[in-house]
Parts: sequence; structure tokens; C-alpha cells
Amino acid sequence: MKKIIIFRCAGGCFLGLLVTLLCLTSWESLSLAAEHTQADVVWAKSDGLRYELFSSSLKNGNWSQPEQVTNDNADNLHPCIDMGPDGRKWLAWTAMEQGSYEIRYAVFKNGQWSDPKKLPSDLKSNISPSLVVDDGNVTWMVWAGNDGVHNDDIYFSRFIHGKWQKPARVNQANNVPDILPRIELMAPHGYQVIWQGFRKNGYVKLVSRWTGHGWGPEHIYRNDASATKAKNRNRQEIKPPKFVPQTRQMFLRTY
Amino acid sequence: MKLYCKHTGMRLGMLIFLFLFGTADCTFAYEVAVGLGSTADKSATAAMGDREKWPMVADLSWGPLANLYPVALLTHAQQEAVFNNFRQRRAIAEIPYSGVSWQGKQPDIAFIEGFGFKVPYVFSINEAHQDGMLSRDEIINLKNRFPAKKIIMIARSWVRDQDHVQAVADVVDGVCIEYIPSNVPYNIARHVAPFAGWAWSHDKILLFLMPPQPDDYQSDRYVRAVKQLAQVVYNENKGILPHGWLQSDRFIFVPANYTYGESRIPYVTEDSTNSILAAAKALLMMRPSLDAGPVRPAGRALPPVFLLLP
Repeated sequence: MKKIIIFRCAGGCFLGLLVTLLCLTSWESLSLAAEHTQADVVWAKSDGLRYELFSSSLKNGNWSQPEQVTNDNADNLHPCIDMGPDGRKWLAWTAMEQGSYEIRYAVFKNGQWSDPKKLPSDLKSNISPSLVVDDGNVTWMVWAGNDGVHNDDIYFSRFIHGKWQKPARVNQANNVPDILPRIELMAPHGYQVIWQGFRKNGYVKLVSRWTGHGWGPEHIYRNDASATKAKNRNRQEIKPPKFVPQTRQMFLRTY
Repeated sequence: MKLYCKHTGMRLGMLIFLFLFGTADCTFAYEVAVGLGSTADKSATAAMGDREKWPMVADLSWGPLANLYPVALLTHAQQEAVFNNFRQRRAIAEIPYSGVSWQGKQPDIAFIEGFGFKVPYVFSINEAHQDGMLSRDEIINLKNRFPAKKIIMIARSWVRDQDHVQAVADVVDGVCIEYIPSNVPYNIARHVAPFAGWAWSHDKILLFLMPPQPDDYQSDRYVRAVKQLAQVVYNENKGILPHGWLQSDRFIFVPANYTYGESRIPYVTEDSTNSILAAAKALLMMRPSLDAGPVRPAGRALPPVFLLLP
């Protein structure tokens, strides 16, 4: 009986040791993963008169000091950022200035942000951009645009060979609002745009997928997290730095 | 005995009739509430103690949006006179998030209830956030704090705030879009009107809180601006929402009297060319033209013969 107890105790200790060891190993690998994770956070902060954009990058487990991206008379909102394989970062946002609503963007290379540029568009208003950069360093952007006649629609453009393509509509033609688009990479390859559209007297989440030539028909969106590529996989695991004032008007991208 | 029965029966019939058509405030049109928050001299608020200066609004308005400045500075008799003039005994309590008492009585609500009002809605702002909107956790905290009340949070622009508003649609009961109505129609269409589609499709309360510009005291500027905002909201949504979508008490227009610096707009009279309650009255009068039903609920216009019955 005594032997059994000793055996059990020993077994328990061994198991406990094993579990502890496993935990430590996993913790170490998690810590290493966190240390090697790269991330960017961009946010809009009001200076009392208008919103300006700031950015910070996570490298080797440390967030860099905030860097101001905009300094103008616009309210700069809804920032979104991504980095291509060439290391260039693209940041797009909504600029609201004296009744105009346009998408502006800046590119980070050689250690600094470029001056903001305007996304070419004949639409009367352009807001709420979302972008990704693909493996060929092509930037894909979607946003909610308004032609001044109908309600908002979802528009799309790519930056190829140094210029933006003419904006094309993603959603089906209608006279109801289509808002808040988000473009995502999908596994194994491909793209999808998810947005909220006013259909049958209510807002529903819709999705359209890239067919290779254009955007396919819209469907009701059903969340399939496994289909989205690893690019945003760690988003929930990385917390924004403490100096980011709030979680709204903030975008965090992990690579 | 027979006479007694006859009279009793008639009284009972009348009561049923009044219950069904007269006193029941069934949903029939958008509502108009009176914003009591004001940067005008407190005498402007005290002037609302005279019901003869605003009989229609006093009778037909939803009730007050009770920001207690400067009401709290009036004498108790003045406060009583103002509050007693509202036929509807209900109010929206405006409580900054930092002013919530997490235990015991909430003084602002107790103050309003002290005048015999019910407070079904709590409207809150958190100015610690740059945009004033409540976070998801803060909305949940308020719902736990005031479980019997609907929680309404501020927003100031559909363009800026739509993503957060959509993100908390499952927990918030309503939104109060605060917007200066004298802005140009294009901006009202962009920043204000889309909230109606959101509120309608998510079954939410929507307050249109309309503070004036400092110079809106001139001419009939404020009244015109308030009418313009309602018209633009209606026009922008009539192609999207079903006919008669404004026949709902979930939509509440709220003229208010605070601005940058001192407001020079009086509250009364409701028949003047430019006052806060003239704007409220104008909104009530617009109901038919916005497909929102009659100015008065049908049961409210009782034929005089019913009033003569024993």
C-alpha cells in the first residue's frame, strides 16, 4: 500500500514536472513568436480641432515611438495599413475637409512617410478605405464611394505600374447604402471584400470574391475564419501600445 | 338604480373609448422632445413655466430631454412650473458617463422623478473618448446599472462613427446624433440621414439633437434649419425605407438651446418666428408632409359631444 502511494506520488510529481516543462516550452515559443512578430498600428487622434494620423511599429517586442503622418486641415479618419514583400508600407485613410470626403494615402519607405496623396476618383465622396498589398507588391484598395446621386457603393482600385486604376464598383447596382468594406486575402490565394449592405429593409453582411478578372456576385457573408490567410492571424494576440489613446479610429496589422 | 347602471355603463364605455383612442399614446408618428440643456440665460428656461406660451408643444411633445443645466439653477417653484407643463410625464435623462453613480440613487434621475416623471431612456456621453461615444463595455456597464432603461449613446457623424455604431448595434438601444441643423443639406445627408436607415433596420431609438449656431437667433434661422434637417433626413431615406417609415416613436427630434457661448434664442413662444419651441411646433406640424401621419393622434381630437357625456 505504501509503495502504491509512493508510486502515485512519484507519478503525480512526474506528471506535474512534465506539464510544467511543456508549459515552459510553449511559453518560450510563444514569447519567441511574439518577439519575432512584426506589426503596425495606425490611429487618428484629435488635437482639439481636427484628427491627425499617427503610426507605430512593433519590432523585437517593442513598439516604436509614435510618428505623426498627417499635419493638415483635414479630419483624418479610418486608417488602414499593410506592408508588401518589398517592405514598403501603404497607409490609406479618409480625409474630411471643408465638405469634401476623399481617400488619401501615404507610403513608408526608406524610414519615412511620404507626403499624403489623393486617391484619384470622380466620385462625390470617398470614405472608409481598406487595403492589402499582394505578393507582387500590388496594392488593392476598397472604400465606400458616393456618386452624388445614389447611396454609397463599394468601390475598388489597384495601384499597378505607378498609377491607380479607374475605380470600379464591387456591389451590385442598387440605390441602397453599401458601407464599411474590408478587403481580405484568402487561403490559398484570392481576395474577398466583405461589407454591410442595406438589403430587404435591413443591413446584412455581404461578400464578393475576386474571380481573376473582376468581382463575383455578392452573397450573404458566412464567417469562415480558416479561409482567411495568415496575414491577420495574430491580430488578436498583439495588443496595441499603451500610448494609443483609444481603440476606435485605430487599425492594427500583424505580419 | 337603473339610472346609476346606465351612467356607470356609459362611464365604462367612455373609459374604454378613451383608453383605446384618447389617452393611449400609441405609436403613430415621429416624436418631438424638448432639449432642456441651454446656454441661454436661465430666464429663457423659466419662461417655459407659462404654459400659455407653448400650449401645443406642451400637449404634444414626447417630453423633455433633461440635461439639467440650467434647470437645476431655477427655484423649485420655477422648476415645478416648467416640468408640470409637459402633458407626457416621461423624460430622457442625460447623464455623462463620468457622472454615473454606480451604487445607490442616481441624483439626476431622482431629480426628474421628483416631478412625477418616468425616465425610460438614459442618454450618455463619455467625453474621455475623443468622439464621446460609449465603448461596448461602457454600454454594458450602463445596461447593468439601469436594467429597466434604454441606453442611448451619442454620435456626431455617420461618416466618422458608422463603424463603431454598427459594431455596438447588438448592445446599444439607441443613438443620439448631435448635429447643428443649419449645416448645408449635403452635409446633413452625409452625416445625419444614414442613421435613420440604421435605426430603422436595427429597431433602435434615434434622437436628432439639434443645437443652434450662435447666430441662429437672427430672423427665423433656427426654425428654418430644424425644418431643413427633418426634410433632408426624410428625403434621403424615402427611396430606401418603406413609405411611412417616420410613423414611429423611435424617431425623436430634439430642438435644444445650447451653443458656443451664450445662446440668444428664447424658448417661447411657440408661435414666434424664431424660438426653440417654435421649432418644436414646426416639427410637429410637418408630420403630414413627411408621411408621418397627422399632427395630432386621431384619438386626441375628441368630438366635443363626448366631453359633455355624464
